[in-house]
Amino acid sequence: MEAAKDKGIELVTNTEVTAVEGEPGNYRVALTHKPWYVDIDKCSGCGACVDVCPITMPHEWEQGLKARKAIYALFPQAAPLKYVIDREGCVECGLCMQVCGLDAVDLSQEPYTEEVEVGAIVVASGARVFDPSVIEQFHYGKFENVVTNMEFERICNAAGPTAGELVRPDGKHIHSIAFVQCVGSRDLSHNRWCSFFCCMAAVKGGRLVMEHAPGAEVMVFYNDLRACGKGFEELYTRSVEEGMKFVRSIPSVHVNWTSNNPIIVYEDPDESRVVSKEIDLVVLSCGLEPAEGTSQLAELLSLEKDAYGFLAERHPTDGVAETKRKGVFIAGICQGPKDIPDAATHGSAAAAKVGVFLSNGKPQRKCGEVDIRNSGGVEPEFPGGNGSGESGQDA
Amino acid sequence: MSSDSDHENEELRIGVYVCHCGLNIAQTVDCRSAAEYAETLPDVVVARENMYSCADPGQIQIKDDVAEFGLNRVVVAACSVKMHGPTFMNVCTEAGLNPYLFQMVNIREHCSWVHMQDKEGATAKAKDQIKMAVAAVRTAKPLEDRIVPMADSVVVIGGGVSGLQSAVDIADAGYRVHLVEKAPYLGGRSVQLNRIFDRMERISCVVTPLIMRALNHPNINVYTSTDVEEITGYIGNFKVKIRSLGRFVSDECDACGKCEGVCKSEAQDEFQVGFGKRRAIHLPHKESLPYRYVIDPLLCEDCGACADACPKGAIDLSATETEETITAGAIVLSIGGQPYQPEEGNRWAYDGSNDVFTALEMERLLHSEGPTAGRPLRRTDGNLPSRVAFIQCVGSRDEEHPWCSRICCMNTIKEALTIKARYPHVRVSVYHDDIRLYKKEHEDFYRLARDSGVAFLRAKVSEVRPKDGTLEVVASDEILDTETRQDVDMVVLATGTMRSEDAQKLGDMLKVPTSGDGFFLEAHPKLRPLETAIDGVFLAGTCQYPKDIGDCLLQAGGAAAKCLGLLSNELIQLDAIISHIDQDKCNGCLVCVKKCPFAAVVTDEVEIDGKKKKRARVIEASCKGCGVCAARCKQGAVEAQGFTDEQIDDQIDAALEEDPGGKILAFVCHW
Ligand SMILES: Cc1cc2nc3c(=O)[nH]c(=O)nc-3n(C[C@H](O)[C@H](O)[C@H](O)COP(=O)(O)OP(=O)(O)OC[C@H]3O[C@@H](n4cnc5c(N)ncnc54)[C@H](O)[C@@H]3O)c2cc1C
Ligand SMILES: Cc1cc2nc3c(=O)[nH]c(=O)nc-3n(C[C@H](O)[C@H](O)[C@H](O)COP(=O)(O)OP(=O)(O)OC[C@H]3O[C@@H](n4cnc5c(N)ncnc54)[C@H](O)[C@@H]3O)c2cc1C
Ligand code: SF4
Ligand code: SF4
Ligand code: SF4
Ligand code: SF4
Repeated sequence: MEAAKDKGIELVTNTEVTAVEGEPGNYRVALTHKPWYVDIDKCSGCGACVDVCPITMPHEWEQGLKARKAIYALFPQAAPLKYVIDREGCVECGLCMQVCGLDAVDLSQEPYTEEVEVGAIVVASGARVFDPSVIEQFHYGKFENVVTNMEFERICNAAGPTAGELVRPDGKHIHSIAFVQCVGSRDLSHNRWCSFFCCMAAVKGGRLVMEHAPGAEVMVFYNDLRACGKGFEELYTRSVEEGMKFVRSIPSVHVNWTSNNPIIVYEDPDESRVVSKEIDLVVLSCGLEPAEGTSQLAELLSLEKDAYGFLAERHPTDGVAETKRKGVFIAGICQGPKDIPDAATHGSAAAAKVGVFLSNGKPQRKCGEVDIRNSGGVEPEFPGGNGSGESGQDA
Repeated sequence: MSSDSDHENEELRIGVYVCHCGLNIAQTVDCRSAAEYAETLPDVVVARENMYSCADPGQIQIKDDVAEFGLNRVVVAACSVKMHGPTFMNVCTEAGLNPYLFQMVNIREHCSWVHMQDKEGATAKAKDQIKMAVAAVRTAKPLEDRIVPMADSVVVIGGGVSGLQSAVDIADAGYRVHLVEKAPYLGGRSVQLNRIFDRMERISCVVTPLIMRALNHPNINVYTSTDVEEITGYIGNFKVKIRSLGRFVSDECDACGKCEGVCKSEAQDEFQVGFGKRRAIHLPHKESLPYRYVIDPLLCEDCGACADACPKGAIDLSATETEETITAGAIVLSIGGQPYQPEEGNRWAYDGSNDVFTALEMERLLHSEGPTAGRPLRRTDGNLPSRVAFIQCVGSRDEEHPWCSRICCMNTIKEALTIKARYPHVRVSVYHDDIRLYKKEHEDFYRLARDSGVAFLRAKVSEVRPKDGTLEVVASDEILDTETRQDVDMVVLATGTMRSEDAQKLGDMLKVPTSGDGFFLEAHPKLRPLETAIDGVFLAGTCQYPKDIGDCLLQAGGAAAKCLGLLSNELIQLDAIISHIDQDKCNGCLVCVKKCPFAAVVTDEVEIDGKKKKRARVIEASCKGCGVCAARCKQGAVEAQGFTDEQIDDQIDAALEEDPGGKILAFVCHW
């Protein structure tokens, strides 16, 4: 939100970087704008077109948990709020064109490429969530009520497919839930690193369930609980006191086909025996892995990848926000898994490096005034979701 | 801008906007009914609901209504005022309205989220909140933001890795930096360490080059052996008073060391954490930068022997403390933390004389320039141990220190691996609860330790008992579910990190709040981890929370970016929420001058009826708008702009008009 308002930032969305040429301080970057099939200068975001569009298809932003029309806003708080047509679904019926009072729908749009000249480049292209369907014992994709942490985020989000009601995919309210940690992470046969955000995300998810459904049973199956960030341990301890159960064990997941409830089978370390338990929902805490396009991006920008496949920093201690290529900087989880505070700090550090690089030691001061009141105008990453209702210390 | 009187005569036209925030508000509060209710309130011309008031359509709606209905007051009932207040104030400005003719109430956190189980009650409360906001906005006055100049320099307090990195980044961009360090050397805690996990780099490869850059940088003034005495001022114009203890040794010193031999006055060497002694005149450590001797004034007996011995004439015992006040547009706080030191009678039998060591002591033992030239020898008999036990979470994750110190698991793995690498026959075990790692490379490092034979035991240590030459570690094993006892020759405590002893002092000086763990509190834990509640004051490094050197350098770079953003402007705009004193009403009691926590009220001498009288005046730029003066003034001479008595009275009346007995009205701080 803040970025969308800042006069120094031109936000280009629905756009891909397709070529980079030039040298540090003087890059030419080709931006290929994908067509929206809606003239975004004209579109006022009124949404009248959505009502008339006859085509319904799965919503990828909602992790497929909800349907959308072929003409749609990516998400209701998107900045800028503009509609876009998915040509995979569109049957060119033209109803939206008829209803749009501003004449904004334009099915003839073609992709086009523009070249921008920049002094420096920051890569912050993110990462991908591990796909747990390759691990058989969890039966992800086979049992309806076994979801990933990413899907669970959408279930929790008030603006999500279930409108903030804590219901599982088959529509039943959630009163007992199990989080399975380290899915695909810390595992030599999949990703051998720890993804760091997922332990606390489970704690926060569990708290949300306990808030929404008082008395709900929340279990977290884990190995080490990595609550090592500011306020994390305190939140974890409080959750234990409030009844969240942490079990050091790796369960397997089965199902009761009559109730559609997942059954978790695990070794109870307290009682040293195998327990099986029927619950409402299983959330797989999937880790982060290098994003799909990492290799292409690395090639495009002549960057190296590290031993894990993430984009490599210049140096792991004192060059974490830089790359080996001068003038190209790096921020966030494209360099390796992190939580939001660490990613935001990484971004600021990259900004400092860019600032220093571009200033060349010669500061240029603007004479006009800047409004620092606005520095407070920040938008929470997950409105209402994942326990961000808790303020202050809670990560 | 029209004058006050214009506004007084003007007909009030208020617009009220009730936000659904998706379903965040609408799932609990009946927004339609709240908006309909708002429409019935006096002077409300239009009241609407919005799906997301902050998104483009919501903002455009407000602007359109201001034009169409000639609104001259706006009320938004939505989310956090701290978060989105500025958004809507901007909308007002863009609509041509003074942004202070606006009120916002939070019906999300204060209403929807806390009363999720009581939809009717929540809706009634939201209506009351809206009614109060309408009452307050009716007498709101247009205010002008303050414009203040921005000094083009920064003071960085603390010269550890964090302070150094901030200083170098800001200086590289061309601005003046004053780097203030209390110790006689730069580098802070890091230069005491043996190696840096997980690449096992030497400090001299990472930190020394950074120190050299700071020392040699034309834009950085380095002050060592210097403490901060007082800080006044505000963003753009901080005045930092520093006091240099003086080194008593000039730049001429080439560290030949002749003085040290003649000095008779001795104390424990704090750099070597108590191993060995140092003299009053000493080089703080072997790679100390600046590379110069220094005299500890508390220890020096003024005998003059060193001055006579010095071939360079570098020693001047008559040098005195100096004070200086420096101006800065912004301040970076980077005063680090402090390792936990076990108290007397602790259950790990640590007493500084037996074979129980802290993690920092182990760093010194493993360091080639340390007291044992890199060999982890026992204090009691000088022998190499054959069994070493590390105990995790000492002074962390307990009742008194409820936080996790983040780096001690990695540090233990590092120290355990170092011992294993040098002395493979030594049996090393680690007693831990969780092993906490947080970066992509860490898991490999942990795996390497396990593969090298370090035994990781998930067990809680209840006690360490000294027992004829050995130490018995008593623990309850989580996996075996029994009590275990193991005899070892050496115990290393993974001591946690606490806030610095100076945190309280500097926090008070700058009014920067601390969190429950005692570390400085950031403005927002997720999105503004570098800023503080005080504009222009930024955080870097361990003073905010324990972190490793890599993370310190990142945060310090981030803090530098924030400073650069500010410094790139010659003028900045501050809000108008400040106090104003009517000197005609002031009777010169000056209670406000005494009570202002920010020294923002000064005394004027004015002539009234031929007599000289004292009258109070607020320095606008220094005022933080806390309102203390307004509350104290018995004459009613002080007006807290944006929070006038009239506005607050009207809000109380509005809240309690109906069913006052059934309500509790809370007064909470705006800041
Ligand atoms: C299920 C889940 C729950 C989480 N919960 C929490 C939590 O509770 N607390 C917390 O602190 N953290 C949490 N995290 C972690 C948090 O999401 C990340 O730390 C953060 O999003 C990282 O931000 P980023 O900007 O580095 O990457 P991303 O958020 O992934 O953003 C990268 C962006 O780059 C774009 N992009 C990619 N390639 C290109 C290209 N070639 N050209 C142009 N654009 C491109 C992508 O479309 C994307 O918008 C969670 C993560 C997950 C998966
Ligand atoms: C035993 C141990 C082992 C560690 N091992 C590793 C490791 O292997 N790898 C790793 O990455 N990290 C390690 N760390 C962490 C690392 O040491 C810290 O992250 C880092 O040194 C913190 O830097 P800093 O600049 O934030 O604070 P500090 O280094 O503490 O620096 C703060 C500076 O501020 C000065 N100061 C304090 N008060 C004032 C004042 N009032 N006025 C002026 N100056 C003041 C202090 O004298 C000090 O120089 C270890 C820490 C410990 C304790
Ligand atoms: S953060 Fe927790 S759940 Fe995620 S990979 Fe690490 S240990 Fe596993
Ligand atoms: S004057 Fe002080 S420092 Fe010098 S030798 Fe005497 S005691 Fe030591
Ligand atoms: S980092 Fe490890 S040793 Fe340190 S407090 Fe946290 S869990 Fe305990
Ligand atoms: S409101 Fe009054 S007491 Fe508070 S800072 Fe301003 S002048 Fe000082």
